[in-house]
Amino acid sequence: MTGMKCASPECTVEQTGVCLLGNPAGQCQNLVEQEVLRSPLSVGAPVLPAPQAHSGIPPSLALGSTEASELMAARYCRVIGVIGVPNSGKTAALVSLYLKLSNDQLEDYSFADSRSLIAFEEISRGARRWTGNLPEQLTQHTKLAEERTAGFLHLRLRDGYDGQAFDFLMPDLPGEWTNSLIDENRTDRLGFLRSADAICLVIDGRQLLEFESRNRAMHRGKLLIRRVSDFLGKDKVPLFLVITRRDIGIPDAEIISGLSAEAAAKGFEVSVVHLASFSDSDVVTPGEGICDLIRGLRTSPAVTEAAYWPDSPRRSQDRSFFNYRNRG
Amino acid sequence: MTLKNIVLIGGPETGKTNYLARLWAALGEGDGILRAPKTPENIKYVEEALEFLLGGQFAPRTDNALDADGSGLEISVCTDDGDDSTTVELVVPDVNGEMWRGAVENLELSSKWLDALGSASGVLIFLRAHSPLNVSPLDWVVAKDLLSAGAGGAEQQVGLPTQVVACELVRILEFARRQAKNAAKLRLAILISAWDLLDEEASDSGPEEFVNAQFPLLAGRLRDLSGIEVEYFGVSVVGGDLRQDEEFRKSFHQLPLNKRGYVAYKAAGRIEMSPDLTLPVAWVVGVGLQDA
Repeated sequence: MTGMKCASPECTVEQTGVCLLGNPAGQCQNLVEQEVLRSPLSVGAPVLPAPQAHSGIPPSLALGSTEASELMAARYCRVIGVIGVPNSGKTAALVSLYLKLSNDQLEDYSFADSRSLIAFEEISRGARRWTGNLPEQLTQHTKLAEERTAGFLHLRLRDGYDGQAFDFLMPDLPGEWTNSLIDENRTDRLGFLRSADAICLVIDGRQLLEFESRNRAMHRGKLLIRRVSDFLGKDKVPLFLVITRRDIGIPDAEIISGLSAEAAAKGFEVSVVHLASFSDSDVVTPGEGICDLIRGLRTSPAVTEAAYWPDSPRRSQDRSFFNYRNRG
Repeated sequence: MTLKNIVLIGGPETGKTNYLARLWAALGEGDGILRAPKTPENIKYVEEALEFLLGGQFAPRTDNALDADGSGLEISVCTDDGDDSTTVELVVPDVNGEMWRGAVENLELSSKWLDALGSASGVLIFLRAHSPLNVSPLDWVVAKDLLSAGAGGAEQQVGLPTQVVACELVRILEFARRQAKNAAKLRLAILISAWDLLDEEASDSGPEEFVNAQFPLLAGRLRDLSGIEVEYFGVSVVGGDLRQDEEFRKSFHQLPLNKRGYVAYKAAGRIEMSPDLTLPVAWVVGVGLQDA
């Protein structure tokens, strides 16, 4: 709402209605528009209710690197590097794992906790997809966002046999990052692989099964193994070749052994897991292979820590003081 | 006198208000392990809810706008041994379940309720057996179709599964206690309302087994808590379904309300049924179930 005010400080037309220069009301050239409050009595009072302060409750989405680090400081988490080109089946594997847990169908393990439970739920419902605007880096802080963010999915499981709980952190990344790794050796955003306890290299089993595509798929698979090997250098961690689409078949042994041999030649300890995240078959149940993969990831040796007080080689000594060593 | 803040958590129509009304009736009758030696000042809210039960109806869904002082129950209670040292002042506010759902879906929770959770002496989480509002986990067929649709495909527009909501409520509870720097051990009672709707086999298995079977994610989460002691109760406030069971509704007035309703719980390895509706709150404030 606007009103008129006189630019001349001596004029009291606002209060009295009488122009200092004697002009009729509203016709003085010194009049200017100004904002008028609805009620003079409410000057200074808020016109809108104050927005409710955000509760500060952290979202239950993909963890940023900061939150992931905080979690790892609080408890031991196995970081599982999951990589694979687009449509290799990474998302399907995550969804399958989540559905198994939601329906208590994961044979040897049960759900204990997840700091990114809503992320799992939304990825399963198709609410979060990798769209045109792909993230360029891992997100630093967990944030509320409409689009899927590149971050860590947290899952805590409990072993049904020994009752022990264990934590996984699995980066949720677009497949294009793997293509960039293969084609451009882009490793700047894959630093977490060097901290991983194991790496899952997800390969589309359908591509390896089909005659027309298997040579290319094998070639790309080997390239990926070499890229990861070069990036890790001497510090190799267990590598799991996760071959998806188990429900339509298992690729020829020659294909699988070719990939395994490539990985072994690069110094990896290799395991192969055939996975059917979903199933179009009557004989293969959805989620087949998930339990084996979890077992393998849980029991794969972690990075060996350097011995705290390593033995030094015994020196020959003339002094008898040193001769007490290694006496029974 | 010790002050005990009890918080009721649960989505819409999970039975919070009806239980509160029934609890008030039970405390007043003095038949249970917890009893109220004197009538509190303000009983308007619980009396209005109790009116419905006494009239043979369940109390309706709590008003959306409800979050005002006086909505709930503040009452001094003691155990039936009459020892003054066991008298506690219970403060049990009631609130519309939409607030809790909003807390999960939008992470919106007023500082008043965050503080209430952070300082709570005990918490009751309500789930309703076989509620039409319960949302099941995604099934395999639908999930596969959604994945196949890929980018640009439709997403499933249903609410969060009930067990996911419950897990998130537990996460919010833990967050509130960390914020309040409250390291005191908390008792968390899981109340399965409408227990009378279960078949005999499910009822005989007990409330913990019910949660294991119906809400496996929540069951796993509850086994992983630190600093929080969990107990499970199946609750039927009047012993039957006043909405759907016409025969039960017709016969309801043949017995007084204090002869109606029961609590199922596990004690010494067995599932027990007790007419004492104060049991869940009694446990939450520190009474052992073996004393029931």
